[in-house]
Parts: sequence; structure tokens; C-alpha cells
Amino acid sequence: MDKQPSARVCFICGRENEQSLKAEYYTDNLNQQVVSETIIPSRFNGWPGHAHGGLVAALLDEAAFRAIWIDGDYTRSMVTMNLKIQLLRPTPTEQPLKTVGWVLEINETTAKTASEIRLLDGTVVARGVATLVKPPDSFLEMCGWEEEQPYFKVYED
Amino acid sequence: MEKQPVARDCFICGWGNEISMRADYFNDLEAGQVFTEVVIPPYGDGWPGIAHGGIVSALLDETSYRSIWLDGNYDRVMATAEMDVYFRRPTPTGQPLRVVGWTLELSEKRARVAAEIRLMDGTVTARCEALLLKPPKSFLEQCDFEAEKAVWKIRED
Repeated sequence: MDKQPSARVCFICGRENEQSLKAEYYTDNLNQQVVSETIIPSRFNGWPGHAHGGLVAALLDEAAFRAIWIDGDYTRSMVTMNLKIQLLRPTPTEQPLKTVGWVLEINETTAKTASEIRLLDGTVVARGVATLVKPPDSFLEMCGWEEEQPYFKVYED
Repeated sequence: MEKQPVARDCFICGWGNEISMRADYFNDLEAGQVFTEVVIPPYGDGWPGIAHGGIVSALLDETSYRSIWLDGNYDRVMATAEMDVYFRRPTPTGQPLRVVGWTLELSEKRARVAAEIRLMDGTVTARCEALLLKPPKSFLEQCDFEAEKAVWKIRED
């Protein structure tokens, strides 16, 4: 499985963000999915012992986004325009979770992707479907993407 | 305007969570809305300077949820079952935002709620609609909800 690059600041994958979950994503070519094993720290509790719905949304968003990189084209940039999630069961913090993302439809300017969070026994706790669009160049400039790009890379273990 | 209580652990509002955004919510009875003014810390970046979609979702989730407390009945407990988020523009980190929530439908067992994030000039950056359901008693027991509720408090300025 190919490890996908991580960013510097991103709240989910960022390597230089103290609060980041530092999630690492792998492309599973056989199943055409991206996968990550992550633990949500208890500082992201909503209810005691359970992740805030927004954190669940964050993991679903990230995995749904990263599905567009399954073919290894990491220059493809899109942003989430709409995210629909279902919180089926409480998502525990401080326990390993498997997050999986895949593509439903993709073209040059838009993509529809999906993701799911599972406990290690396979129980699905939450699901998402995202609509992604290619952002205007002005957005990438506003984010200082040029400056960021050198830090966007595959970090060794 | 009445200030709503905040939880201990919650990473959006919690008083005892080091990285909490310490969002305080107010009941604006005249407008029929709850609102908060909050700054997303830089750790919530997805892109540099721009909040991760999941952090945006977290704020919308919390705020739409809190609209069911507009009448001051803080014993009403629900959990988010579904959420639909629209990202209209980038939501900046490190800048004050106003987040507003309101209830569309409310019954004993379920609620449909909505929220939006605005820049201080009124520009809407993101919106959500969510379905909340009353959780089973077993869930509240599992969270040790009674003990948790005992440490909710109204934060002094």
C-alpha cells in the first residue's frame, strides 16, 4: 500500500500541528480505497469518552477528500463543498478506529466521494458523502499553497 | 441575554479542556436564535489560515445542537444523528466569527436544527442542517451523564 503525503498544518494529518491527530493515509490499490488507523484523543470529547460530532465529521471529511488521490495524483486539489454525515453510533475516543474513503464519481472539476469510520471489529459508527470541487486559483494563492508545498510530503515512520 | 452552561470536556465549549475554544453561547429570545462569538485557533487549520472542514462542522454541530436549549431547558438531551454541511467560502482561523443556531422543528424525541457561521461583516461562510434524536438511556449511562452534568457551569466573564 502506498503512503499518501501529509501536510504541515492540517488538523487531521499535519506534522507540525501540536493538536493534530497526525493521521497517516494509505492507498489500498486492490480495493480502490484510502485507509487510516487513527485514535481520537480524549481532548476531542463531546460527551465523556465519545468524540464530538465535529471530530467525526473531520475524519470523514479528510478520508473522503483523500479518496481523490487513490490514483497517486497528489497535484489534484479540491475543496469540500458539501458533506453529509450520518452518526450511526457513538464514536469512542482513545480507541483505534479505521477510516476508509472511496470515490463515487470524479472528473476534472468535481468529485463525489464517500467515507466510513469503523471500530476494529468492523462495526460502522459513522458515514459520510462529500461533494468536492476544484477551487479557483485565487484560493490556492490565498492559502499560500506555493510556500506550503515543500512540506507536503510522505513522512517516514 | 441568558448565557448557556458549558460542559467540562467538550472541545468547543468545555471549561476544563486545555485546547477548548471556550465558546460561550447566549439565548437571543427576540431573534429566536442562540449565538456565540469564537475564534478558531490555528490548530484547526486544514489549509494554512483556513479551518479544516471538520472544525467548521464541529462549530456548526455544537451551535445547531444548542438551539434546542433556547427555552432554557438544559435537561433536554439529544445526540446528532445526521448533519448536512455546506461550505460556501473558506472559514478563516485566528479571526472572530459569529455562529448562530436555530431550531426548525422540535418534538419530545427529535429535532431538526440549523446553524451558520458568519464573518464579522455578516458574510456567511458555512451552513448546516442537522437531525437530533433523543439517545437511549443506555447511552447516557455509558457516558456517565449524571456525573458530567453536575460539573456543567456558566462561565464567568
